[in-house]
Amino acid sequence: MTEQQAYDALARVMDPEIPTISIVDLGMVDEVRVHASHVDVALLPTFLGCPALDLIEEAVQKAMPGAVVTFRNDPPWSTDRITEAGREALRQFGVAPPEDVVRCPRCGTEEVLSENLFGPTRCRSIYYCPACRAPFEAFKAI
Amino acid sequence: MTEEQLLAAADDELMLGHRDSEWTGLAPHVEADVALSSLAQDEMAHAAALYTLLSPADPDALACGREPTAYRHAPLLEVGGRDFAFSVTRQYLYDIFEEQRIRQFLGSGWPELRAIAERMSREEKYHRMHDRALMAALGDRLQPALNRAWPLALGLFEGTGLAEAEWRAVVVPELTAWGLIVPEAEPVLGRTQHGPDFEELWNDLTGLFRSDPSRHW
Ligand SMILES: [Zn+2]
Repeated sequence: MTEQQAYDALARVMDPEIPTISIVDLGMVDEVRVHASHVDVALLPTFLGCPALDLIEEAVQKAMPGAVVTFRNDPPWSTDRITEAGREALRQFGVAPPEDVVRCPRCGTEEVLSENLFGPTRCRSIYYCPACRAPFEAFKAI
Repeated sequence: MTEEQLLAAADDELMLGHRDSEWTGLAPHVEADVALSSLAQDEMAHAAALYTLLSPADPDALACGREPTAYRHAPLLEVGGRDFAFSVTRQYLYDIFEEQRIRQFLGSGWPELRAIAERMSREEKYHRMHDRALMAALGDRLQPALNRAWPLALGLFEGTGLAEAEWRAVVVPELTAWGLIVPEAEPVLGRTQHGPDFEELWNDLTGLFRSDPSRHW
């Protein structure tokens, strides 16, 4: 297996909470090392104590049998690591990507109201778009 | 930065996370319920990261396997009961203290602690925005809660090496602007000896773990 093939396999591993975005586009992959016998994958948890880590580890091993997955907190993950493709994938899922100005993922307006800084998961806040007359979630910029 | 101080920080986060989690399903309105549940998860996760740093092989045993006298949290964080105003006020007073403590961690010579502190700091920014909005909205209705929380909050500093004056410089003008009168009081100390509220909390928090310490949850 080449490093490129390893990344291609990781790009098929989706976030368990937002299934339109891969762990590569989330910026979780810190290091990939291809050995003759197996592949070492070092991942950065998006949130401290994220409860989805076991699921992600399992999914990586399914996509790449024999992969050895480790998690590290250094360097700290930040939402700046989410790729452009990842931001589009979040919008497709109905979640506004993390930006200085929160925009409605449906119509794009900045004229939105903050309903709750917290949301259904630790990484999301709740907003309301008066134009769409509908609430939406936004990824916290952290 | 000593291990004792780090343990005190982890215990503070764990007890506050546990108390916040007791509001899940019971907060006065749904948005507060969602917020307190998220705050609880954040504080618990910070505690877990710090326990893992202190005891990489068995963080659960450190978190849940000690006798009550071995916990090092401040008395403010063990207070129970269904007083929403107290919970809001406690969260604010503690989160401003925590901001100062995270800066202490960021200045430590321990790279792994700095990395964790960096992550905590980004999450805590949302806590403070939330706390301040709620404190401003509730204003002087929080006076009885502040009277009760204030001497306990002063006790947070015991043994931490952090300056109370730095915290006062932030909270006193804000509380005053929200229509609250800052009480004059002596700090309630007690990181090494705990009250009856902790007995109940400790039973609740550690009972399952102590029933079978060898099990992986
Ligand atoms: Zn819209």
